[in-house]
Parts: sequence; C-alpha cells; structure tokens
Amino acid sequence: MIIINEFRAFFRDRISVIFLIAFPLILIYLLGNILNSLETADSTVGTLKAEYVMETDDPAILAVAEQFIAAINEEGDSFYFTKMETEAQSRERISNEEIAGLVRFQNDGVHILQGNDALQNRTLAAVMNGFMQSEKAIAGIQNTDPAKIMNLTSAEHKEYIKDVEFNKNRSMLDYYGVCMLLMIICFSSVQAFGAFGDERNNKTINRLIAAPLNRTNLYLQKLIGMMPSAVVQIAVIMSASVLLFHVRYATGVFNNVLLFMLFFMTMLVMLSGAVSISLFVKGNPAIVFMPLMWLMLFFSGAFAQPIVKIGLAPYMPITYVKNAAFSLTIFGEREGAFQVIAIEAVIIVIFTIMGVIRFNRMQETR
Amino acid sequence: MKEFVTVKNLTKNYGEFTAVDDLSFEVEEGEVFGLLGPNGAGKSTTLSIITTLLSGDKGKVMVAGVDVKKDKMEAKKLMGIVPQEIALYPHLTAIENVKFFASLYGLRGKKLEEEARRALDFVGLSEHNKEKPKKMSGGMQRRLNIACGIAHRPRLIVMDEPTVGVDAQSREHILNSIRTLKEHGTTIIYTSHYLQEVEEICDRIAIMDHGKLVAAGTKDELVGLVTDYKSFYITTAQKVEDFDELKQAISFLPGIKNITIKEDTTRVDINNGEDSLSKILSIFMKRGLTITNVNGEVPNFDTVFLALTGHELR
Repeated sequence: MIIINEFRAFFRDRISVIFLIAFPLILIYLLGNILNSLETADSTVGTLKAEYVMETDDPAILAVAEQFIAAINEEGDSFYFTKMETEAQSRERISNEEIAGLVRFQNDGVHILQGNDALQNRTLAAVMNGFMQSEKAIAGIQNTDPAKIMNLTSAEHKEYIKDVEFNKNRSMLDYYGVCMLLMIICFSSVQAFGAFGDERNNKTINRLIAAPLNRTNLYLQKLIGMMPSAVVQIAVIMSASVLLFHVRYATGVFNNVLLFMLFFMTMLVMLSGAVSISLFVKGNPAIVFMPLMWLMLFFSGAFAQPIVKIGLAPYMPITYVKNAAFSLTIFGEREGAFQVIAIEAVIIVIFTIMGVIRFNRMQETR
Repeated sequence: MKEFVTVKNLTKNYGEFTAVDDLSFEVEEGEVFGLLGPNGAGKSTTLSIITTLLSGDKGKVMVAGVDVKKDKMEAKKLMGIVPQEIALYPHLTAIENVKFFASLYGLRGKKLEEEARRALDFVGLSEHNKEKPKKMSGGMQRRLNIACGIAHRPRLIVMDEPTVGVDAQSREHILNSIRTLKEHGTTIIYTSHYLQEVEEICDRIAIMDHGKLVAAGTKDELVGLVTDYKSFYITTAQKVEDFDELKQAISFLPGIKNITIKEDTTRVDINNGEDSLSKILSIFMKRGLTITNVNGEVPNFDTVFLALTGHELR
C-alpha cells in the first residue's frame, strides 16, 4: 500500500508532473531547436583547400584517414584535400592564404597547422573533429570485432560505418534528449529528499511507525514506491521526445533498453542517496544539494558541451553516465553502460543499507 | 474489570532532563482513561512510549499482557492512534486515507472497504468520502483523523487532544463517538486541555506533572484530594436574628466544619462523606425560617487541576 501511495502522491501532485515530466520535454524541444537554428551559418566559407600528410604507422588510422580524405574529395564541392609536398611549401601556402591549413595524421591523433582566417580554421577544425569521431568509432569496432578492422576498405565495412553511425543526421535535439533526461534524473532527488520530510510535514510519520510494520520494511516500501514513477518519468520523456521531436537515442531495441536501464539505475542512485541523506540532515537537504546537482550537471557539460573544456568534467560523477550514454547512442558501445550500471548497483546497495540502519536507529518524537 | 494497560516504574530521560520519572498507573479494560497535565508534564512522552514511538529507559509498559518493548509488533496490532495534529495525506480522498491506514494493519479487499466505510460512517463523514482533506472543515478533518485511527478496530485507542480547534457540533459528535467506542468495549487513553471534556467522558483520570504521577482516580476521588468539605449556601425569606443559637444548634451535627451567617444567607461547610444537609434544613424550619434557596458549592475540576499542578506558567 505504501508503494501505491507513493505512486499516487507523485501523479496527483501537479507540480511534480509539470516539473519532472512536462518541463524537461519543453526544454528538449526549446534547447534542441534553438541550438539547431544556431548551427545555420551566417556567412559562406567558400571552397576550402587543405593539405595533408600521413605521419602514422598505425594501419587503422592510416586506412580510416585515407578513406576519409577520399570521401571528402569525392564530394569535392566545397572542400578539397591535396597531399603535402614539403612542409616548407605548405607553410608558405598557408601564409599566402592559398590553402586553409596542413593536416598531419599522427599516431596520437590529428594536428593542424592553421592560417589566419578564423572562419576557415573553425571549419577545418570541425571537419577534422568529424574525422576524430570516425576514428573513435573504428577504435570501438576494433575492441568489439577486430576482424572487421582487417577488412576496413571492404564494401561491407564501409556500409557498416557509413549507414549505421555516420550517415545519420544527428542534431542538438539528440544531445539534449540525453542531457535533459540526466537533468531530470538528478532533480528526481528533490522528490526523494522529501520522502520522510513530507511524512513529517503531513504528521503521518508517527502513524506509519505506530503501525505493525518493521522500520526496514517501511523504509524499503518508501524507496520501492518511488520506482514506478521513476520508470514512468524516463519512459514518458524518452517516448515523447522520440515521437514528438524525433530525438534519436540508441540504435536497436537492446541498446535502447540498455540506455533505459542506465537512466533508471542512475535515477535509483539519486533516489536511494537522497532518501538516505535526508535522514542524516536536519531541515530540507534539497536546499543544499540541488545547487550542487546544478553545478555537477553544468561542469559535466550537460547544458552545453563546451563547458567540458573547463576541465572539471572528469570530476563530476554524472559525466561518466553521460559519456556512457553517448557512447551507447552514437557509437553503439555497450561496455561503458554496463560498467556504470554495475557501479551504480553497488552505490544503491550502500545508500540503502545506510538509510535502513539510520531509520531503525531514529526515534520519532510526537 | 481487568487491567488492560499497565505502566510500571516508567522512566525516560533526554540527556540530563527526565521527561518521565518513575511513572506507574493502570488502565482498566473498556474504560476511558484521561491523562492530564500541564505542558511539559510528560504526557506526550508517556503516550509515545505506550504507542511504541519511543522506548522507555526504565520500567515496563504492558498492553493486554504484551510488553510493548519486547513484542512491539504484537503490541502495535492492538492499538490505534489519533494524533493531536491532523495526520492525513492531502493527495488522498477521505476513504483512501482511511483505507491506507487500515491496510497497514493487514486489512485487505472487501473487509478493508467495509471497515473504511464503517469508520467514515461512525464519524459522520460517509457523504464526504470522496473529498480530499483540504476541502474539509477543521471539524471534518478532526473526525477523519479519528476514522483513520479506528478503522482497523483496535482494542486500545490512544487519543491525543482529538477535539483541538473544532466547533461545538463537531466536539459533541467526537465525544459521542468516544462514548460509543467505550460501549463497544474499546479501551481509550484520552488527553485534552479541555478539563470539562475530560470530566465528562473519562471514567478515571491521572494527573501528571514534571514527569511524575501527581494523582489518579475518579473525578470525585480527585476532588476529595483537594478539598475535604463542601460548602452550602442557605437563603431564607427572613433575616436571621438569633444567629448564635442557630450556629450552636448546627455545630452539634456531625461533619460541620464552619458556619457563617450574614443577614438572610447562611454558609455551612460540611466535611466530605457526611450528609448533614437535611438535618440543617430541619433546624432552620423548626425556627420558623422559610428557606428560599439552597446552593451547593463543589470545587470544579479546573480548581482541582490547578491545586494539584500549581498556578505557575509552563
């Protein structure tokens, strides 16, 4: 009954429904569309020429780089790569603004010698960033199916890369689909911080404790009672963002279920943590913890990817969830998601044990 | 009647402060037992220990032979609580609230539905069963608060100031409900700051102060603790002329404590347990005095309470 009561409490509270379901959907739509429109260029780059040199002995990078340049040159309308003759000549051409830059493919990545045209520099950097993403995908394939890397130039593999991952026209909506879900997951803790606080405010806590239920049972029922609303929140936001705004999450049913599990487990970490913490802190812990959640989300780059450059992202736990989610959605990599889910399961157990012990030791006063 | 609740040498400390100090009393089965005391007397702590919300440091509380500390779950099943504050879920309707709390005591399905409806009917809220507490008046909320504590038919109901802030009609309804519960054999421990209410419905009353039991007994027994006499005012149609003779005649009667005569009114204080009033009246009549009025003055319960707990503000 406590489980059903928790579910009712969530869905009969208009503020909860608006704040935790409707609000994120609006944000996905607004942020995704606003940022999509910002992607539209307001000036023309024109035809961009660049030179390149292969300074790597890694066959995978070499093969991908060659494929990449061939694909770019095949289009040929606005971008064209030619092979470097000598570095001195390339530098001279750059300074004379005959070419946009020199791209050096090396074992540790791509290095670019840039000129003075900021617009061309940004464009070249963006294109090479695309290459880096491709290279990452190859590295992913190398880990999961090394045999395919041996036939990199085969038509089969070309299809695999091009159609499955890179030919998709991903947009900012996809980014914000994941990020807004993470935001909502973090903010679901507001609800959990008040799990016992609300019982005290309603003065119902003593009635619960006076009932013939042991406290462990009571605590677990309260915690489990929050799970159905967590499932519904994630499911509604994922489904609505796909159906209404055409957000693309992962490819394939299994990956999407895994992504759902990743979000769900993250939400359980937040819920179990918040319920447990609320028993140790006097007053409403949400006042202290919610700004910290915002900061964690902000520095992880959930609101804007460039924030990652500040360098604090690796210290933000949510970054690992975000990275695992993006690895799953963009590259189809499951390993990160599995690792994060396993760690989260351990954290949930620890938080729950802490909470149960604390709740059993607490004495309520009338 | 046999003892249903036994509190024996109960002590509860909060650090240096002793909230309940070696408290002992018994509540008999089927009685309404009033627990009174000024603020901070230790009533709330005592009730919390009886209802298992707190644990006592020393002593023992038994409910129907079950030790509430050792066998908490069994003891909890016997009890229902009606807290002082309105303890309801704002998102649930009246019937959902009652069903929720009754379900915690193991009621399910048809039985749960029946008992919830019975409890709502009992407190006069049948027609408001689909309303949420917010839309109810203070009195209705109080009655719903009671319904939530009794739907599982507990043998002991602990009611903590159930009539605070309600209008006369709701108070009357609540007091009648308590009488009905008593008729059905339910044992009730009742606290209130309305002493008249306690006088009216409680079979026995315990008065606590500074964590200790000051006095316990029926209302008359408690009154007897404070004053050992009753005062009677006898008014006559004529002015009493031979008051020395009259005084002397009355003073020979048993239990006469004090006589004061002032024109047409004579005040006589008679010790408790003595019934000399009729003899006094006949003395008046033998002297040709026409009695127009006789007023008895018994100390009210407020006086008793203040005499036992003092006038100091808490």
